[in-house]
Amino acid sequence: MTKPNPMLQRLETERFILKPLGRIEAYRVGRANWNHDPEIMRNLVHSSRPLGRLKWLKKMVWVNGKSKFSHAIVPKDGGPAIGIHGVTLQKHRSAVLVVAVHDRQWWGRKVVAEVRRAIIDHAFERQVVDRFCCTVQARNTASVFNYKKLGFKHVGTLHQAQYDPDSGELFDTLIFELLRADWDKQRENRS
Amino acid sequence: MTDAAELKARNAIARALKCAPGAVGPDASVETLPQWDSIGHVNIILEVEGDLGRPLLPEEIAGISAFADIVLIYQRHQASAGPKGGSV
Repeated sequence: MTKPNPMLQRLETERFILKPLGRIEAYRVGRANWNHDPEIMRNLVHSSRPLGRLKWLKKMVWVNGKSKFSHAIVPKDGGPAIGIHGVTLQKHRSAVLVVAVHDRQWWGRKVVAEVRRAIIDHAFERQVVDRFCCTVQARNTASVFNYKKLGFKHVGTLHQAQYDPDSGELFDTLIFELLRADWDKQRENRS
Repeated sequence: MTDAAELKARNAIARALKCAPGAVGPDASVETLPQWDSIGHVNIILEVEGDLGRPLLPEEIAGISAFADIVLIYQRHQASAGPKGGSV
């Protein structure tokens, strides 16, 4: 019998339970909260236009149990999920991260740093990956902040690489990377 | 030029984070200033862009995580603007 993927485990942080999601739950939580939030949609898919059901299933449900894993971010105090964190495994022991916090009451309260730190710790400790690589819109400065805060290094810029169908503008994308060795150094410094 | 750049950077951070300029020391960064969170970061970038009168380049945005990074941006801006009132 094969062991379940470590990314299917439930995790805990100081303030949150990170509950692994199945496809149906990920669809429900994501679509109900993000599809009509232009700001979230723009940051996730570069367009504020709502997506139809099939397109949502294809693009926005980051769950397949093999290479895509999502965790609902649930406050320990109770209440519904305030967002979802997704991990997509890629070739050569790399992974891409994505997160959306739809409950605006939690914005500016360091949710992403806390959640992502736990996910990254877990993925490195359980030998899931050796590297994380993420791309982000250059103007999504809150997201840029979160990558920098976690020690991701800016390793490149894709100029005018993405297109916003709403505004008709091309925009720049930043590439950030975090290697296991750099994370280990950070952890030593923290302790 | 350095003093002017430092002053501008300090004031921009203080305005963005709603703190006293004196609280922004030379070692101020995302690690040392508790107010410097993701929303504070957005505000800092908007303040700097307001001062410079232009949007920051993607590489400049990616490079900001401390007071010193912002000082550098002001210094480069001042250097590229050149001295005022120069003769030919």
